[in-house]
Amino acid sequence: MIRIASLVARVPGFALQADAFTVPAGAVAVVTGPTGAGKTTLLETIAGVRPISAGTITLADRDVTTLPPEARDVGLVYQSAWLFPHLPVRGNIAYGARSEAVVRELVETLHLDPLLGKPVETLSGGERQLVAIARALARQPRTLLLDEPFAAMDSALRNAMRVAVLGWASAHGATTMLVTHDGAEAALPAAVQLRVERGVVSVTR
Amino acid sequence: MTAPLPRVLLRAVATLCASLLVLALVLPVGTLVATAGAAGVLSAFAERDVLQSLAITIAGATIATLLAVAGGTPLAYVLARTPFRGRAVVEALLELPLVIPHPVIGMALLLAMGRNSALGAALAPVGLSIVNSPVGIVVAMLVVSAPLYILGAREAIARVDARLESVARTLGDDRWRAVRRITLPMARNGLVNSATAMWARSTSEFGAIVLVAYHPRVASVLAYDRYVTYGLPAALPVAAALVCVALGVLALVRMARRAERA
Repeated sequence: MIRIASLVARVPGFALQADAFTVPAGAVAVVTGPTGAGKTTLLETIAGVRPISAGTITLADRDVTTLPPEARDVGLVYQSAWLFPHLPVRGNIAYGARSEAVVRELVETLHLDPLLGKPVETLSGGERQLVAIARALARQPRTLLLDEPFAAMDSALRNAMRVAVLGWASAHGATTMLVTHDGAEAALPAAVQLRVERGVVSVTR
Repeated sequence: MTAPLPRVLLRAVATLCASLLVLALVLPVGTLVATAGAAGVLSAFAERDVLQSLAITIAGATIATLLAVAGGTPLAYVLARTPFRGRAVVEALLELPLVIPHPVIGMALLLAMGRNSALGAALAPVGLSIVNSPVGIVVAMLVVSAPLYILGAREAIARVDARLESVARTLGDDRWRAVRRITLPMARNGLVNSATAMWARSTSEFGAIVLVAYHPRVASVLAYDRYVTYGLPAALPVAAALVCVALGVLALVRMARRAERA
C-alpha cells in the first residue's frame, strides 16, 4: 500500500504537491503527465532519495516519512537505468538481492542469461532497463517504483516485459507505481490513475 | 586532397608551441640530470646524508598524503555532494595555499604553531614541535599540498552521479555503504591521481619546509644547502638523485595503473 497525504517537495524551479491518494496493497498505480511535470520527483520522494518539506508517506502500513531510503523497502527503476558501471551485469542484479535463488529466478523470467557476463557499457538501452528492473526486483521490495522502465524497448519486448514485471510484482505482493508515456500502459486497468501537471498530483481514477 | 592553408598553418603553429612548451618543461631537468651524470647520481645515492634526506622526504610526503586522504576524502565528498551556506568560502580557503607563496605559508605556520604560539606551547609538554622536526615537515607538506588532493577528489566524486548512490540506497545500502561500494570505486582513478599529484608536490616542497624545519633536511633543503654552501657542482648530484627518485615513483604509479587496466 502507498498512502500519500499533504505532500510537498521543493526542488529548484518548482514544487511537487500531492493532497492525498492511496494505492491499495498489491495494486498498480499508473502515473502520466507531460515531461518535466514532476513524475520522477514523485517517485523519488516516495523512495526517500529526495527530501520533502511537508506531508506524510505511508508504505505497507508503515509511516516512512522520516526513514532513509534503505529502510523503506522500495525498488526504484529510473528510465535511464543508472546501472553501476564498475560492476558486470550479474553484479548489478545481485547488488541488493535477498538471495541467489531470486537472482536465478529473475534471470530466467526476464531472459537475461546472455547478458550476465557482459560489462554494462556494452548493453543497449533496452537491455540496460531490463537489468535495472531485475536489480530492483531482486531486492523483493514491498513497493515498486518504475519510471518509464520499458521506454527503450521495442514494442514486442515492451509488452512481454510489462506482463512479466507486473506479473512478478503481483505474485510477490508488491504495490507498483508505474510512470509512463506509453498509451497502452496508460490504459492499463490500474487501481489508481494519477496525473501530474506542473508539480501538482491529481487522482483521475 | 590538401587541407586549406590556414588549417595547415594553424596546425604548424600549434605543433611548434606544443614542442616549445615540452622543451621548456624537459630541458632544465634533463640538463640537470645529464650534467650530474650517472656517476654523479650514483655517488649521491652512496652518501648517507642524501639517503637520509630522501628517506625523510619520501616518508614525510607519504604520511602527509595518507593524512590528506583520510581527512580530505570525507571533506571532498561533502563539498561535492552537499550544498551548504559558506561552501564557496571553504573552497576558496582550500585554494589559498595554492596561490600563496610557500615561504609565506612557512611564516604563517611558525606564527600559528611555532614555539611562541599558544598551540606550540600547548604541544610542547607532549614533545610535539613543528620547528626543526619531522612533524613540522609533515605539517608543511600537508598544508601546502593537501588542497591538491581535496580539490581533485571533490571533482572525482562530483563526476559520479548522485543518482547511482540513490539507487544503491534503495537496494539496502546506508549512505556510507553506498559511498564505499559505488562512489569511491567509481572515483578511484581520480582519487589516485589526486593523491599522486599531492605526493609528488610534497616531495618537491621547499619554501614552507625551509622556514619551519631546516633540520632534519628533506632532499630539496639538502640540495639548496649544498648549493649555498658549496656551489652548484656540489648540489647537482643531490638534485639529480631527487629527480630520479621522483621519476621512478611516477613511472611505478603509471605502470601499476596500466597493469590494473589491462
